Amino acid sequence: MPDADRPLLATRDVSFGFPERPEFLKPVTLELRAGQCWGLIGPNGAGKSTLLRLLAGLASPSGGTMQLNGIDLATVPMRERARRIAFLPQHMPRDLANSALDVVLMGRYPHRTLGLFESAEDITIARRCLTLTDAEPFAERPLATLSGGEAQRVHLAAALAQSPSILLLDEPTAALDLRHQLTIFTLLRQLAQRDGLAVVVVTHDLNLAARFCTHVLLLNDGRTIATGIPSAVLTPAVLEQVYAVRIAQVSTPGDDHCWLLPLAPTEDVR
Amino acid sequence: MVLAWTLALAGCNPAAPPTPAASQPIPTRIICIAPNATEMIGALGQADRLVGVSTFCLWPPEVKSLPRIGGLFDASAEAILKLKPDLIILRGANRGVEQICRDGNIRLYRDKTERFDDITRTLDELAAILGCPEKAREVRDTMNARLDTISRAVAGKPRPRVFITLARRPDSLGDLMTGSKLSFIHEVITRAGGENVFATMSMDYPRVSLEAILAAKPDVILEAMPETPESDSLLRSVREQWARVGPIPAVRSNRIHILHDENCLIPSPRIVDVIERIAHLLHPEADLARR
Amino acid sequence: MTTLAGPAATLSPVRYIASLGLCALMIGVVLFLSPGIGSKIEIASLGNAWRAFASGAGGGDDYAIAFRIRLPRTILALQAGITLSLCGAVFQTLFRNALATPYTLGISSGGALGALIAIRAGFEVAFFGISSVSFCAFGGALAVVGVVFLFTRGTRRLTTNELLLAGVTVGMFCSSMMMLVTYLSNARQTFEIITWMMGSLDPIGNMGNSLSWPLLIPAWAVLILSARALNQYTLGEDLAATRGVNVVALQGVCILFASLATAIVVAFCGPIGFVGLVVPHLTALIVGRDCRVLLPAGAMLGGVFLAVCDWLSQLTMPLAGWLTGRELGGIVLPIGVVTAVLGVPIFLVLLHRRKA
Repeated sequence: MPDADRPLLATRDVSFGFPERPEFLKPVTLELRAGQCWGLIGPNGAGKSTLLRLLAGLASPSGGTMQLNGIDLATVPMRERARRIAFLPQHMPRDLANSALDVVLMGRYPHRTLGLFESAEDITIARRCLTLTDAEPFAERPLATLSGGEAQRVHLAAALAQSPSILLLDEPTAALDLRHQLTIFTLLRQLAQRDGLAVVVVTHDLNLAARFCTHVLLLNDGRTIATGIPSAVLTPAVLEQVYAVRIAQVSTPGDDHCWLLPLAPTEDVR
Repeated sequence: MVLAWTLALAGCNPAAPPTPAASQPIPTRIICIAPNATEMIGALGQADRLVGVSTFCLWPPEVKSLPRIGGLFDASAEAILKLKPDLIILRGANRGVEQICRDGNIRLYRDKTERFDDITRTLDELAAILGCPEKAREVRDTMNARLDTISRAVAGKPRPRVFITLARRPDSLGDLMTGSKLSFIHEVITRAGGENVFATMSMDYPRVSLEAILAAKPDVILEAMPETPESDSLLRSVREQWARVGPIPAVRSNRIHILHDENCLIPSPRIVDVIERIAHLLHPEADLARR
Repeated sequence: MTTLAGPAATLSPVRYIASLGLCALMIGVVLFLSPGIGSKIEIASLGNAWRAFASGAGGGDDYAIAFRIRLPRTILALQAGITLSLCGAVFQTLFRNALATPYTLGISSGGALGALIAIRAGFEVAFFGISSVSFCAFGGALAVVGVVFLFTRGTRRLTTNELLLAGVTVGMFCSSMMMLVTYLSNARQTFEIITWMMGSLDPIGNMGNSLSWPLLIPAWAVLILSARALNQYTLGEDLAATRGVNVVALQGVCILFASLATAIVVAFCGPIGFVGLVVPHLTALIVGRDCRVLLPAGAMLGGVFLAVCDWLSQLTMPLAGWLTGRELGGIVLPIGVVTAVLGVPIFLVLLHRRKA
């Protein structure tokens, strides 16, 4: 079990730029700890996916430091990093001939250094992950024959099969129906709180973030607007500023939870 | 070579145009897109009537200073028109050139020299157009006299079995093209006192396999490599390649030769030089009275 | 990548060994039959060939035809087929493009340009037993690979599509230069150039199989050993990277070794088409897209395919002659024609069946 005091992954003033936009992501400081489920939210182009790619080690920051368990992330060997951090990109190939189980088994890659075939243990883990994401029924079917939502759950299972301590997901529920949006977010919350993972999920669904995440980070235009627990960050006042949308807060009877309801774009388009 | 090249790739012979009437004026600005016809015009002493030739024309020496209008497939219409020809000699089919002739009302002569006997026929036809039939007779008589000398010299001698390559892959013994009795090269070998091992094939220019050559047991192998410089290293490497094939009589007796003559595949009166050379290679002891 | 579906079952050691064992067996059968099959099939029959071998009669016609002409030819076909099919499968996976072939990066055009320049220049020298044409073809292919490879090492890493575009563009440039060289050549050279472009598996005067083994086998090994990393690549570069695959190194190593191996084949056999495109897809239809089995099985089937095509190139004309009562024995068709004529219909039929 990781040391509860030390963050699993910590960034300090991490910034990033493209050649044509050198100061795209302004310095971000973030500490991911075991048991946390972070929601990265913000309008299109706010830098959410960029930040997630930095955390995954897919891009090098132009400034600031990143540490995995106290070690500079850039110096961690790739395979070692892959055993700690799993990443699920927003767009995954769907037209593969491999079976769903095969795709999930491929997630075991960083755990095998030698040997050509998966072990019985790998297969057990893969099947358990498929069950977790409600994808077990089509384990034997080729990925290409699955619907978008089914394929998404298979890819999520593959990320879980990597047995990471940090799970990074880019809009994992974008293709899912209501039921699976809820089951996946419930699972993410569970993974964080019960299994001690640190989860970071990019999402556009403010209500899911508010309900299932332990923390949120609100980005706008590459700048960190607010970090903290959802009820502190996701207020209509803050969100109306960021999204330029009038937002109402409603609560359902018999439930103390508040729901955010977008009404209409505000007049002053920036 | 051009013959082989043309036959292999063009592969068709459109219907002959009506024979030009004898009353037509004698052309003075000729473009010749057939190396063998160019040589015949040279042999007829009419080279000064040529104003342009193909890139593949080699002889007579006058062509060296003439404009080149391209090959059979890439003949340049612009270059042809600029030369204002009154006769175009074409081998094979070329729609562009045919169109030029129709549009510009330019006489077109189709060279159809396929077999050995066609050489004298084409010569006569060209002489008729150029108005010098006596010269054609003279050239033919000289040719026949020399051919008779050769056939007398090789008569009664055992005829070695000859395999001739007309083309091949540059680097290995592959795609070896030879000629059957349907090709003019067959007669070249026969008149030189040899026996063409692939005479009976049903294709004029077949590409034969190594095992077919091995089975044919040639006594002599001739490799036609026109326009290559004579060099010991080339001959050595060719002989080494054949040595690796296996038990061929020609390999055992080291009778593998390269024909470097630039015209060795061009069916024109000059081919007699090549027949003489081959006869000398096949029958070194024969008295050929070489020039 | 537009993938053609194949079996989706998880790879087990049993299925792995069964698949590869069957392919190896097919290679064995090809090698056994090889001494008995050629354009003059009526001489040196299979029985006579092996009898001549057993009796040690190295000087006879049967022995010479079987073991100095036919078997080396088949071995060359196997080498070339294995290489082209393997490199095709690797490039299709690496570029996630079903149309990728070993020649996608312009290797064949570069090789052809080199060979053409050698033919045009009339080099007749051989270096270490390799003809100048092969030598220059290899050089040309390497030059193209070098240019494309340097492209990948720039400050900004190229996307897969940009890499493909770079390769195709360089290939087109070489093709244009080939036209120029052809234009400047005389009749014999032009003819040789066309002949060279058709591809050939004639072993004599060529390479010496011995020479290409030490170059090809390491390349085969490296590519086949990259299978697991390449599998990750099918999910996308980003995911492969977060799974611990060094994508830059993998791309570099695969491009380098596949190109080297292809360059060797182009240098010795000329650009033989279709094997590298069709056989990997055919194999995937049978064994699935898992690179662990696709790469070795595709390689072996590529060898078998090219060897069979070579037999057809030798047997078609004699058979046609026999049927029509004409003398056509011993005539060989260009190998590139046969690979297309055989490969394309098989492929289209399988493709159609899969969709139905």
